[in-house]
Amino acid sequence: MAEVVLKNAVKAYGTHPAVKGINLKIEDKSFVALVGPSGCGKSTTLRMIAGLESISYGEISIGGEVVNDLPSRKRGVSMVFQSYALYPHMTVRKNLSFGLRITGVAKDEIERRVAFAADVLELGPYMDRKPANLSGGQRQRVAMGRAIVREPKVFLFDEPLSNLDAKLRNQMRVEIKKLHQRLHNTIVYVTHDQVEAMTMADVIVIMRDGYIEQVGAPLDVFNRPANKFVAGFIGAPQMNFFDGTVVAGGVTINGFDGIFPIDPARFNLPAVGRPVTIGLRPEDIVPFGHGVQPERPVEFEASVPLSESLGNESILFAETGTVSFAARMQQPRAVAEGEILTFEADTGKIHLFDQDSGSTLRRDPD
Amino acid sequence: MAVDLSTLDYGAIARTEARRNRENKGVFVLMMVLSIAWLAPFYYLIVSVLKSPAEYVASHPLALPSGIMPLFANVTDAWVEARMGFGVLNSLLYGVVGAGVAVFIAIMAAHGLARYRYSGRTFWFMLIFAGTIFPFQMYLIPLFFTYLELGLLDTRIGMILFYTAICIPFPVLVMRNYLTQMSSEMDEAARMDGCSEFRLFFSIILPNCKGPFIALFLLQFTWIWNDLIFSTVLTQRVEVRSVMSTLQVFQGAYADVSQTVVMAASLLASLPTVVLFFVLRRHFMQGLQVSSN
Repeated sequence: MAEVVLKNAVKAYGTHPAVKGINLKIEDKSFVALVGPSGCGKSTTLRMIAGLESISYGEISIGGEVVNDLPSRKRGVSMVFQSYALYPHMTVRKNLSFGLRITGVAKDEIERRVAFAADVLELGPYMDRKPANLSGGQRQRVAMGRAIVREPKVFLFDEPLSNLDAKLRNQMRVEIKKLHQRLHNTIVYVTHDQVEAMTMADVIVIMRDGYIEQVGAPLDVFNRPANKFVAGFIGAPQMNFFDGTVVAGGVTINGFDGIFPIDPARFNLPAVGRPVTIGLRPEDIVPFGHGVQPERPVEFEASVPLSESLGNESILFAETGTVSFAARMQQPRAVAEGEILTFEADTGKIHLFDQDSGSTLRRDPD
Repeated sequence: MAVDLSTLDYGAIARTEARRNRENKGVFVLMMVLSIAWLAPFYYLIVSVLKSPAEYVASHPLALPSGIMPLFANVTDAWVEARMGFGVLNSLLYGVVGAGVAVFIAIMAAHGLARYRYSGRTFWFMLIFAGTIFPFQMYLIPLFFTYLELGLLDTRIGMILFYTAICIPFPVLVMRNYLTQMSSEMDEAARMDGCSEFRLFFSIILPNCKGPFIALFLLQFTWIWNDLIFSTVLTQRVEVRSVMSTLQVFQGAYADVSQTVVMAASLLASLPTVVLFFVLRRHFMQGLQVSSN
């Protein structure tokens, strides 16, 4: 069993707390992504689990054992660093075996594990090269190999793909996912890229400013964000937010005529006349007649001063009155600058947030 | 319109390029003059060692020699007259041990200064670095009396101690910058791999300092080899003197040797550093490159 449990974990630098008392249970064999903007404490949290940062307060346990006072090497974790941190003066083979050699693992056991890692990561042809003679993707694989040979209870990844170009990043994403399916170790993966978190993890932990904002499965977090921050952070392009007001039978966007009917069974609606924040993802506001037919549409017209064509789809930046928003156009066609299109907003996909706290107004369970 | 590469006038292009290069002619001439001025003493040294004392007196100092045979007599005379054997061996000892130990200690110090966080580390660095800002001559008199007191005057161990100590501060400066730029994630990876702090230094940090180690060793070796003033003041016996102060027997009112022998001795004395530079040239350049990154 290698579940990782954080209880009220705090990391303070002097009087400045970077991680502000987080509670998190990472299940055995799960792939958990810690995601959030820079400075949210995700890397610090990972480094506390790794033993590279001391734990100022609270408790971290790995596989049932409290590790607060254990040095890194005794925690049964291994880490893949952002810079790979390979030893430049050693060949790939030596990089892989170094940790085992100095901890006195038997020679044939070392050979077995190195051969296994080389096989899993297809490092065979590079075993006698030094890191300087490897490409970025190969170095990344060596770094993972070095983590594998230690046969850790938990793998820690600290933004491992951010030094790679976009194409290689997509490839490595798949490889890491495959690695997890093959080895079944617990993985804690830190990234600022919500796409990586969404595509790879079983569970996403969204952090902000030293706190955990939401923990959940990728689709759960995407479809049912706990607050406005999570809603805006997960999903690209970002969710549209509108200042709205509660009216009889629904909500309306300020400066916009239409009423979005709201089912009171799904939302804790404030009293009529109260302000509310309305969220709609770009894919839930679609130009009429482009392949997508919302179930409960509200129709309106808007002009499109700017559009981004991606080939398979276009992102339209549209305006109506004082309200501007982004919309996703499937089956795209060229849109003239300032062209007026009919849009349909899917009221079934609407998100409502408290205007002051930003918390969702959705009732649980949906 | 696409360019038709087959119809281009390549001759004209080459001439234009050449004209651009010729515009630097003035600079080229200036550089030639400077090179000649700089090479003249070496020319004088080479032609002098190839002349017999009689030939040297008879001809113009810069005239070409008539053969190369007098070289061997000059070299033998120089070696025997000045008892250079001692000087060369002593200087090798001082240079290799002094520079080697100094650079090694400097890397250890720089490792501590660059890769650990603790309060006061800037102070410690400035304290060591202060060793490079005062003129070395300032140490001379206090050092002489201290050595006199401790009985280190005119001893090999005294010379080695002095050279080691004086060669530490500058490498600390270079190595601290070098090690600051090295990824600290590498240390963390090594610690997670199970390294103790000593293991980390010897197995990970030190092997990655090979380039700057060699470059700094070469610089400090050359400084020790070429040192005249400290060797002259702190040693008396020919058995302890370094090669440079050995050469001093050719200087002064009672010196009675031909200029050709003096030149041969100078040539002998400068050979080791030149040879060392050529042997380690590749590492030297790499080491400097890395440290200037």
